[in-house]
Amino acid sequence: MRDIAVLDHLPILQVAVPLLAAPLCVLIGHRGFSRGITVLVAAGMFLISLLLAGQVYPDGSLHYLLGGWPAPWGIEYRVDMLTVAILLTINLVNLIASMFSISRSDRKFNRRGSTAFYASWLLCVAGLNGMVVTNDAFNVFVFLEISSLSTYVLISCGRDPKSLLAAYRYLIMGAVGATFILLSIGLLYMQAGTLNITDLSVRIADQGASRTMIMALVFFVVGIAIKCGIMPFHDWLPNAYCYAPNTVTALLSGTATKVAIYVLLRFMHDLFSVGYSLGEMPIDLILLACAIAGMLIAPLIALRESSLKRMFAWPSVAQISYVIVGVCLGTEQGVAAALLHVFNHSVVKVMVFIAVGILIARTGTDRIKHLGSVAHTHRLASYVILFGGLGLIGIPGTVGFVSKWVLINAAVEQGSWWLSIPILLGSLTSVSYIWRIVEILWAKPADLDLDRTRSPITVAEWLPLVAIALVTLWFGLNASLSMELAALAASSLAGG
Amino acid sequence: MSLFVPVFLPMLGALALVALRRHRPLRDAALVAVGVLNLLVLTIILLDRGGGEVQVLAEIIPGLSLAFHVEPLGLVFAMTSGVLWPLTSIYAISYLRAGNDPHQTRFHALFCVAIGSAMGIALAENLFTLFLFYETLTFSTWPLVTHSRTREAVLAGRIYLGVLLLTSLMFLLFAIVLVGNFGESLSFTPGGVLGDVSPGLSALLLVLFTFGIGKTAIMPFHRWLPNAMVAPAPVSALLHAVAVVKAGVFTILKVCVYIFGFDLMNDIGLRDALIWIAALTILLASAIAMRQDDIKARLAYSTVSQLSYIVLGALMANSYALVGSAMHITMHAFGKITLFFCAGAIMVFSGRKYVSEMDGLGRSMPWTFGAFLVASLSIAGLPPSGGLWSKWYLALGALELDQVALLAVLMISSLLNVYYLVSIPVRAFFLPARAGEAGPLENRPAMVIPLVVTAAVSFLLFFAAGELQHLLAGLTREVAS
Repeated sequence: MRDIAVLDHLPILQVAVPLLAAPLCVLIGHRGFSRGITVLVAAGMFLISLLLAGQVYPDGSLHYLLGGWPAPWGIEYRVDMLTVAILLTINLVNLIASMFSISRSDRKFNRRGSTAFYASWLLCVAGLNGMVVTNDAFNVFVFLEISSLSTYVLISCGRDPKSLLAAYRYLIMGAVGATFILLSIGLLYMQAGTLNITDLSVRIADQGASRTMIMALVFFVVGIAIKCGIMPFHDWLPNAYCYAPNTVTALLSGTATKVAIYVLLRFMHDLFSVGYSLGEMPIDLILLACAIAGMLIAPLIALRESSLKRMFAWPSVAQISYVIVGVCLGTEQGVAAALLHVFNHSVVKVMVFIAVGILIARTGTDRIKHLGSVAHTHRLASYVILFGGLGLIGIPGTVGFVSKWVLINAAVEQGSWWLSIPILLGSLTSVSYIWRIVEILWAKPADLDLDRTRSPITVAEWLPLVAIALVTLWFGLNASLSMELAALAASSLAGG
Repeated sequence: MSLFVPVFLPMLGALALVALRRHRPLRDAALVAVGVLNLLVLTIILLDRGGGEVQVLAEIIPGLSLAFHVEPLGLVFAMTSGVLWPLTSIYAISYLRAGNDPHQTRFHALFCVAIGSAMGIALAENLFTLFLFYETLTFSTWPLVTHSRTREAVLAGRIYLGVLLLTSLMFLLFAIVLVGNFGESLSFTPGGVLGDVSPGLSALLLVLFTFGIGKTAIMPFHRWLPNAMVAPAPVSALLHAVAVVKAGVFTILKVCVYIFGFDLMNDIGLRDALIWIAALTILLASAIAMRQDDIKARLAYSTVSQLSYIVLGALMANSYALVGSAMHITMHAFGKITLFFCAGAIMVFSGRKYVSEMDGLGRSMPWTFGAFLVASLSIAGLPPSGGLWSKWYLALGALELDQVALLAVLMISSLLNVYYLVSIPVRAFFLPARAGEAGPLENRPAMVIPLVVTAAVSFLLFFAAGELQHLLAGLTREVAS
């Protein structure tokens, strides 16, 4: 009987476990303990996501009432296929990234700093999961702030003093975004008198469009666009990814913007309803323009970057654009394509950043020009970067191809076949920066004393790297599982 | 026989080579053994075809599967590459050893992957599978083009990859997406899959396919091929005269036959314009070839010209032209690989790579230049050589289309071929040698034997063309009905 009781409380456990583990880290104050519990919690959270997936598969939904208060008054957590799809993605990424985080790839802290770092890590993950499972608009904001604040701390832990500046810039941008979202939620509350998302959507549909609604939608879209890192709002992203510790970059690249996309989907498709946000308001046109700009310009900027990590930050801006295209199509296939790309890009990105982290830890530099011929001494990391690069381009046989193919099909189905042109052009421009790095890693004469950079790869490095590479390989060659999940998730959104 | 074997055997061979990298003789023996084994497998497939069933390896997305099948065009391409591969391996081993190359394992392993990709293209059952291997072929040959890692090679590699990826990702992939959405399926189906597509879209598709398959080196997307000549001679020989470029023309043939279908092709008005672009490529490339003094550059432009014969034949869309094109894949392959083998052998033997330095060299390398002569005749389409027959059928195809002007193009091109190819062995044999040269007689046998064999096959194909035609007969009947 006890087991069954635990299974009933999985939605809250998804958030509560990391939330409780975080202060535990600080209280015990032992570095080894913090590391262990971070990985353990990550594994537990992935397990919880899997169990939740088992409970709602194929098209169910769970409603968990906090404290037993019924829905419009109390806070409600809701788990359906869409929630599960995102939970699985971010908790897989977290598991991989946290395994990598216990490697010595960026050892900088003293004992106390280290425990604070892992506490922030756990808080960040708790916030991200909370945003996904909650069905309460204000709760979304609260969790957004929890994850954001801890992210600022994590970024500022980087080796380079510039990481403080990067964290500060993200803080300013993030605070502006969060404020916009808070304003939007406030307006919605004023208009409808409720904060429950399901309840809100019903009431808003009853009341019809009003000026308050328009303002709420606009504030929300701008706010969340900053969090997603969509093209003109992306300024914080390359700096944050570049100067954050390698492990944090791996975590962020696969989770933070992805959860923001989830919130965008929830609000645009559920709360405001597709008919309103994409039909009556031209949000899709504006976002599409941003997305096309992003997928064409970001790779070109990446081509000119001199830092390896910064260069690989730009694909995030580019790839989120593809997701936005899927979201803006407004059809079920479009959303499915977007979700598929969220997953595919997450795994590719965390893989690439782990490999980049390993390279940087060995060579001691992230200047691209110093990395000539590094591939010959650091084979595993270099080949993984190459593999990830092919995935970012979207070469057939990789995950990137699968989701782009599905996305193009969704666009053609919806009648916007012309969208396939910028999508293909985007792939083509991605070739340029990937090839630059490949040429340097393999063909440029060595700049460093390569023999001195040799050191064996530890388990905490190769295990997560190989694991995520195998996952990426599998879903590139057999996408039936990820496709099915994405389709179910999309239909749960359209149906709910 | 499983069709996965010829595709993945060479790729597994690559792994074996890497595993054996410390044992050179063993590694080189393994290379040749894999080639022979692959040829054996292909022969079995050739003999017991008839079932023609589709073999699915994996379904990536519903409607998008990795699948293989056997059909006559694919057999011609696969057998041609399969026969030439072991010969090239023997040649390549001695070529690299002569040059004391430090990265021989990498070279041979990538070579295997490229051949496996070519096999994948030849046996692909649908456009997706074909595209997948088309791209693996591009990526696996890039390190071979830039093998020497010199500045020149890296720059050439950029052009190589740039042109091939630009065309394939921008045009070919776009065309495949359109076929996937508006056609009946992506599978290669006799009679085509574009039955109910609007005329405008089918014309667009034809343009996208013609220019999207950059490996055909049709102008203006031909620049990558002469640039790829910085690669070592065996790469130029097998990959840039056979596997890579033939993969391109094979793809266009296959698309014309199995995606468009000849009925639809003949309804597309824009087709004539594309035919003339191909014809123009034939003439212009020959004209450029005449002015090249570097022997490999001359051969490269000759390849550009000859490839457009096949594109032309594919676009003419009748059964004569189809037979001509398919035969030309084989005929040109044997002729051109011989020429590149010779160019490499001359380079290793005497260090010379310009046509103007060839004077009198024929007397010290009689076998090499003899082979060169036979192969030149075959490329020019003169008897007694296999090259005659493919041009013969292409000419018949042009007549079927009532295009006498195209016939003229073919004739003029043959004349130009004679001028710029046959002149080389003639110089070598009949002009006086420069003073003070009495080196050893002929190259090492491991380099001479392959080129003599391929030249002999070029000659023998003159008598064996009927076999090829027999192989293609089923297909032409299907197309004609």
